[in-house]
Amino acid sequence: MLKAENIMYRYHHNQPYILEDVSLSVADGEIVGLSGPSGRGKTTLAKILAGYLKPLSGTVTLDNMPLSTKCYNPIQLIFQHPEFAINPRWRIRQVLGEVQSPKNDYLHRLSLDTAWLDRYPHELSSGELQRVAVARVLNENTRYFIADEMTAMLDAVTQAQIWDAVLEHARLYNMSILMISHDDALLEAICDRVVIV
Amino acid sequence: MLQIRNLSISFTMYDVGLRQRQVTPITQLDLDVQAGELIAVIGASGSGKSLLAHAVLGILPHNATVTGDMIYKGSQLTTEKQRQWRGSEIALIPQSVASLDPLQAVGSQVQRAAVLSGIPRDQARDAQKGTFDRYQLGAQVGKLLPHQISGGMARRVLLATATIGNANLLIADEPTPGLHQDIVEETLQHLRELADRGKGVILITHDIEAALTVSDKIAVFYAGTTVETALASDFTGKGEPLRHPYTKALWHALPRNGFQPLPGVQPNPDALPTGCLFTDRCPIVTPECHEERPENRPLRDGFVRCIHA
Amino acid sequence: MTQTTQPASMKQAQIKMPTWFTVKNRRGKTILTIGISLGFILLVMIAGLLIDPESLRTNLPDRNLAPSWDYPFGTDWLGRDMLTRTLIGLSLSLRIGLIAATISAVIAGLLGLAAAMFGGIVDDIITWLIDVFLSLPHLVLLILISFALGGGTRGVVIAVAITHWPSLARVIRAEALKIRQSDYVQLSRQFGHSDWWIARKHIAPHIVPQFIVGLILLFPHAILHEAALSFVGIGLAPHTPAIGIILSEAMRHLSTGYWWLAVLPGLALLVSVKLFDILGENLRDLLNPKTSQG
Repeated sequence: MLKAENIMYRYHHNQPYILEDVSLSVADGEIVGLSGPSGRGKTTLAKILAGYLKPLSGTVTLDNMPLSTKCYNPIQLIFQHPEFAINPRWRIRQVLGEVQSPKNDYLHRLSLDTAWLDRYPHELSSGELQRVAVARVLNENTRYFIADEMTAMLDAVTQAQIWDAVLEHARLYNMSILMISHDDALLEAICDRVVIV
Repeated sequence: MLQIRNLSISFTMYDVGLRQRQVTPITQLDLDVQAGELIAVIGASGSGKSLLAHAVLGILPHNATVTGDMIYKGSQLTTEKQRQWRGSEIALIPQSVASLDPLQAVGSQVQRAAVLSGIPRDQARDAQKGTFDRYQLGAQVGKLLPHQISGGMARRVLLATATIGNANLLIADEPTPGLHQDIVEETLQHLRELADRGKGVILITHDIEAALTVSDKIAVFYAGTTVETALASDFTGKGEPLRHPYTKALWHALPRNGFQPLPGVQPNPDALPTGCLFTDRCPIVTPECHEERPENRPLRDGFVRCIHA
Repeated sequence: MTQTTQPASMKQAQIKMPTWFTVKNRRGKTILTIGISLGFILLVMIAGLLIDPESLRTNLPDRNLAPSWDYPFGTDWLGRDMLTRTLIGLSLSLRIGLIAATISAVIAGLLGLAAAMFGGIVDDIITWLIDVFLSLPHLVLLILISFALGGGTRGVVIAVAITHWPSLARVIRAEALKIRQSDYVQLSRQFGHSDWWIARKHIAPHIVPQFIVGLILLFPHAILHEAALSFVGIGLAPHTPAIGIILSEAMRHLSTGYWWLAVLPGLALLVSVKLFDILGENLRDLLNPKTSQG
């Protein structure tokens, strides 16, 4: 169970709190949606849950223990813009290899062409890059998958493909998903429950 | 108003060392835009949609080669005509405020757009005021810098820069990504208004649902070519009126229509299949499909590039 | 009917053009430019070392001759061939400039990287140092340091090295920080990689090309400053045939109308320095994966 309790956060002491006493929990294997108007702190909450930001007060626990910062984080965040999440000077093979050697079945499931492995990020389209970013973290060590508007910039077919692969992995490995989206139909099709911020 | 026939765009790129290769991201593209019509160009990222906008405006990079016909109001769109008409006849609505000078007030940038599109300098200020009024932007907004205006205002300022020259053909390149839902709807409505006033509008986007709310026609791009031109009203029910298997796949991939994925990826411009470009993913592919690329033929008020439609 | 800029026979298929002999394309030009500039610079440096110092003996019968086929750069008041003097001087100035620039660049690289990697008080101190150095008048500082160290080769090299690292350090620090704050580096930490790993695999590959280009673009500064210091008299010793000395001596003779004593060596210096500039700019374009493909 991934739990965030009484989170308070603001980016600057001159600004109002963007998260005030927010709590959220995601159980093992659960798929939770996070929806609501923009500017309400959904991305901030996602970053706090994934360990990118430290809350000013409140706690985030995984199975009742604080998040570890040393090794591979079982809570992984996927950004909306894959172009910034990948080192532009690395070839794709190196990008995938940063986590583990690219396993063929994931390459296949996300329709990653092996020809891409030798390419540079700027040679791939956003849809292809997002598949790479997702393939990078779909492994047995990722227990919580946080998707921040992961497919908002992608066409319908690519969106369906990526989510299909993610959901199948989640089923096989009991991975939990927290997804942020403004697309109500998408949330309805995927989530067990939706939290509105 | 605009007719594009058999458009192809190639780039000469460097591979390793001094070796060059040609990459042809757009092949055999056909498109028609009428006055008073809003046609949406739908396609995946990497299908070449933005290149189309740049080609029509004549702002492709120096290593691009363009073949095919682009006919605007009856005459060929040559490089000189493109330069002449940029802003005054054909205008691009930019994607984001990043296209604006971050150090100049938005009001004066809109005025500059006016001057560049042929409006005399002394009338530019009034023209700017006019467009600002039309898009409900207060006079004080004109004094702000691009980063000081909110997302919604920014969208309207960009619209102002494009419409101030009274262009008759407007191209909106991905105007909606990353925006708040309300602003998306408002932006789309403004585009619809432009079409209703008699302009021709090309909306380039990957978001088919957004496009359907305001478009008259939809042109579907795949791997650099048009595979179908349909009426917006064809997108209904289970997609029976749709003609091309890719369009049907797009429709069925929407979460509310079944969320059906289609395996495979768009072929890379380096490695296009012979014959129809959709053969490696098409659910109804047959041996004849591999032989040669289908012609763009008329079918039921639209066009399709498939031998089985 | 077709609006083409290529012959109609151009097909859509890939065309691999063998371009080793065709230099019309951009990358070919870039590489050729780099080759020529590098070649010329190396030529000057080596030629200066190889020239027999005997050819600089005084030769009074041939003094004050204007440029001609025998003496392309003319001769000076002692009858010495100006071309030889210029070459030797240029070579010396280039070599000294190189040493000074390299020392400076290494300082810049280490401090810039340290500021970005360690952050906190280390960053504060280094940034403060950079600001102090950049706020002092450049040339004045240079003259003061060289003078305090007694001039000569050692004085010049140290003065130039100490005054030129701040701007490159600032660039390197900014680049390293930018990488460090990027999404993909933050992701890398979440994958469990250590700071050291990130520095090696993410930051260094981005910084190294910037560093090399920065280093090369530092040379013109160093060389010109050495020439300036020598010209003013606090650089190299007056009997060393450095360009600055040559120019300074030539000043005395300007009123006599022997223009070639100053103009030609000056032009030679200008051209050499400009070549470094061109070399640096072209190398920068080539090393950036985004600009090197089109």
